Amino acid sequence: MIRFWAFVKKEFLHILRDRRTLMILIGLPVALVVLFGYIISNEIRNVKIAFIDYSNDYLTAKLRNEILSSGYFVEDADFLVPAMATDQIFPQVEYGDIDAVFKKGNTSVIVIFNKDFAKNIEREGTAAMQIVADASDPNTAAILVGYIQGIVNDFQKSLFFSGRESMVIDVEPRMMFNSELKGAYMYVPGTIAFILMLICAIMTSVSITREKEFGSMEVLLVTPLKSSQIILGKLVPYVFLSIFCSVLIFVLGYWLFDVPFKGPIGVVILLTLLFVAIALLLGLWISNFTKTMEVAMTLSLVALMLPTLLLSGFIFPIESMPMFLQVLASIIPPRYFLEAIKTVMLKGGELVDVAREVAVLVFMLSVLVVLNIRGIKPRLE
Amino acid sequence: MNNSDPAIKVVNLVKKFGDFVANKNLTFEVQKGEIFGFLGANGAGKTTAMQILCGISLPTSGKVTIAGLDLNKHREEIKLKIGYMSQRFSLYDDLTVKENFRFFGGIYRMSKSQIKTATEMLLDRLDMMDKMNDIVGSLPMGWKQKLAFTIANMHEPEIVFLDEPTGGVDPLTRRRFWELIYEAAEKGVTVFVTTHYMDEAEYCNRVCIMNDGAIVALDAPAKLKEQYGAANMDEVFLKIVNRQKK
Repeated sequence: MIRFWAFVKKEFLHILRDRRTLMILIGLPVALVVLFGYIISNEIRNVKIAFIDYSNDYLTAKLRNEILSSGYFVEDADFLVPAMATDQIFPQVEYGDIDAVFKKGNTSVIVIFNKDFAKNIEREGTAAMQIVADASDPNTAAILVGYIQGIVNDFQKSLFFSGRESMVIDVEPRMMFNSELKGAYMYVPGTIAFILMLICAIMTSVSITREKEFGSMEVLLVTPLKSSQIILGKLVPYVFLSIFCSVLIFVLGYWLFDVPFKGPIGVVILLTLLFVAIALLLGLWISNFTKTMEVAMTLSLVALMLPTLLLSGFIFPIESMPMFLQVLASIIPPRYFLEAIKTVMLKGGELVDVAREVAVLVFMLSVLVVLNIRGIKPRLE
Repeated sequence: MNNSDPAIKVVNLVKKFGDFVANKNLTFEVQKGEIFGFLGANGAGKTTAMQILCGISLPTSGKVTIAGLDLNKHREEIKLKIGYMSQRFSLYDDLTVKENFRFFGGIYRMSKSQIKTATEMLLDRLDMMDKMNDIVGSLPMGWKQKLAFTIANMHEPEIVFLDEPTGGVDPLTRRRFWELIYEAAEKGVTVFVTTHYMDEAEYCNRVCIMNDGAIVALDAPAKLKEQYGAANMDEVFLKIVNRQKK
């Protein structure tokens, strides 16, 4: 054990001495969370919205309510249309005034309901509404439009008229990401998956190949250190570092940006540790068949980081990917980690609700354990 | 281990990588306290042989005895009795001198106070006390090599293996390094050193010249020079290698 701890201590020193890498490892999650947090929390929340309601019936009132209660929008006080007040004079904003409204610079979206909205739905099963967004910031505009369409979609599912199964309000969803409205906070688990891959997989594989490349592995093998001690000693500091970073990300998300944390914390910890183990073994596996840091780094970037970013559902929804990418996405671990964390953190799921994901992750973990045991070359050839 | 027993005894050592034979039937002995040089061009099989002796690589066949112990049976015990230093890697560049001492002391199970005493004593001898907290990477190559040799000897091994220990430094620095080797040998440490610098070969008690995986000459430098009628080891080496080619 003295030997082992001497080795672990050395590994910690390597990490602490390399200030630049350490700053990146701690700075990156903070930067990502703050960045995503601000984009989503401040721009997408409390967006000024105005309604022009030419119908002002019970359905439009309900829909307006839905939009306002989503938490993303606040009604622009200047153009407030009192709900359910059928005797009020409206609309307060005329078509021609839209331009003027936007130019004032406060309102980002205007939702216009056509005349006889409820009546048309009841009779013909279809009604029209229009979303006008200030697209001087096209990304935000697209997100906002997407959210409103999502709300409308949910809303029409709640409508049920006898004999009609088809959609009653014709909306064409055009969301760039976050196909589920509830997924607005995906950036927290997404950032965690990304950072854990970075720390566990890349750092571990680089740190092991570094010893190979510099020839220090040879020196270590001549000493009484066992190869299992060398490998475990390499992993220990990164386990600590990744737990530290995960906590950092959760805490930042929770305290700064009110990311909901509904489910039991124990399940989140279990999922995170499971994912850490998988990422570490992936890194270890890569270091088995790479001899230089450069190859290890490139391989981990292409084989691990890119899929984590692009295929895990972190940035692009898996459902809207072409078939072969969906198949590819189904074999990468972060996808299941993200799905499970989302269910627990954002929807308040229990362990049973993520049993499938946990089972897949445990299965992947066991495959990696086997691969690593077979892959680690006996030190003596 | 008896005092008269050889420190290293190798009998019919063969190492094959597939069809390629890296070591052909090596047989030699190294006496206790001897400085034994292993010479040869790159690819002659020096490093392979040394890696087998250090326990990094397994022999295909043959019998190796290190410090009186059979290498196949007592691998772990042997590890405590040997030290190793290679040209490719001297020390961890990003750690300080002290941290390097602490790490290598730690893996040989030395206690904190033992490490502290040893570090101070050894650094004092190297006249490097003021470098204790310097990052190793900031030191000149010659100093790093001296430090690496000192650290390889810190746990007081019976045998130290040096794999081209003085690569990339000038002859004067090499000479200083060899003073350390002599000091260690005087204390009874057996030194097994590979090199391709022929001036270093002159410093050895005995040298073993390898070519194409086989031992082609083994004797004291003076005797080899006499035998081949050469003025220095450089000539000896060239004569032997050229004769082999014919």
